[in-house]
Amino acid sequence: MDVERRILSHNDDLAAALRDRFARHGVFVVNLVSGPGSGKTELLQRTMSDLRPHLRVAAVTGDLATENDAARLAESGAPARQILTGTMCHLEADMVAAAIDDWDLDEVEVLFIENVGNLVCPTGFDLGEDLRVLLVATTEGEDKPLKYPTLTMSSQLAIISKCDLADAVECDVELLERNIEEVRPGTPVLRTSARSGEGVDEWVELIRERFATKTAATAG
Amino acid sequence: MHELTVATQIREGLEREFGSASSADDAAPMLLVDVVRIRVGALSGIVPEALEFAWPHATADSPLLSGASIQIEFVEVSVDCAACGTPTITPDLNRLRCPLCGSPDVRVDGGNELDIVSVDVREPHDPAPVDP
Repeated sequence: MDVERRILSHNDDLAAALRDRFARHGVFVVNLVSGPGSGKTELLQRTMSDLRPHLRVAAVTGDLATENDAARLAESGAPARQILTGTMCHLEADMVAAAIDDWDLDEVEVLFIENVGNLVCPTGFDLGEDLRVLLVATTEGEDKPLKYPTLTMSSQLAIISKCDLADAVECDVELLERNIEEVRPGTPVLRTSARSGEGVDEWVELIRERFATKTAATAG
Repeated sequence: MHELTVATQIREGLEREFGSASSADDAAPMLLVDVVRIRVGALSGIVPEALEFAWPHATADSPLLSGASIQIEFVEVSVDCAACGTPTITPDLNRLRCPLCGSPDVRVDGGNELDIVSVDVREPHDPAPVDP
């Protein structure tokens, strides 16, 4: 008997429903993916603090255990909620939907989804985001994008984090950029450091522009 | 890495489709599945061997699927070159370039698959197929 449908179609359907909901409420959504320890939370803390004077931001963050990341993100003053995945290696659309179920999305303009630190499994799981951002730290080595091509290919923007440490760990940032270009030609790349602030203004500006574009399109 | 999750999603998808009771305590299923055929692309991030390993564990307590075998068709990455128009299959995930002209301007045509293709089903009172 023919069945012919995507195995993850259930997640795809839920993600499509989320995307509709985000559009209705004018929420711009960023799905941040990376390996563990690449600085997602640190960058988000800084990003949310810098965005708050301009936009109403919120975050959900996925980990197998501990509420540490939500506590750190909440220090920015913005709503932040932890998703505990237990043994799951990635976030799925139903987890995000459950986490924001009681939030009034009219009070949110930019939602950050910090995925579970994992360079493989988040690839196939659409969360209804507008923008998937791959974070690669200088401390991880230049060849991460080459080693994990599927996630790299599924991301529309790449951020190189911990650029303040590049010299100390002898990371060739230009080579890292070339490797991203190799796997996904044309991917915009930002160099950042949450500690020194390098590139953060540019990243914040990019989010403000994308938010404005999305809301202008949906309002029109 | 999450092949058990994928195996569970296949199970849940088929149980939704065929309306199976979800545990052995519930009513007997209307149908039994003997074979599940799926398609896994090289870009899906799923390792066929790991999925085969996870499959019996994900379905052991499913009245619909317990004992069903899984057959996996693996699909290499194929790209269509925008520059020279040549469709090709490339095994190198890191360099999705046209192997003929080297252009990076390619459209990924195949390799993202993660599909249930078909199933062999029978009524519970029909005999199980005999292995040849």
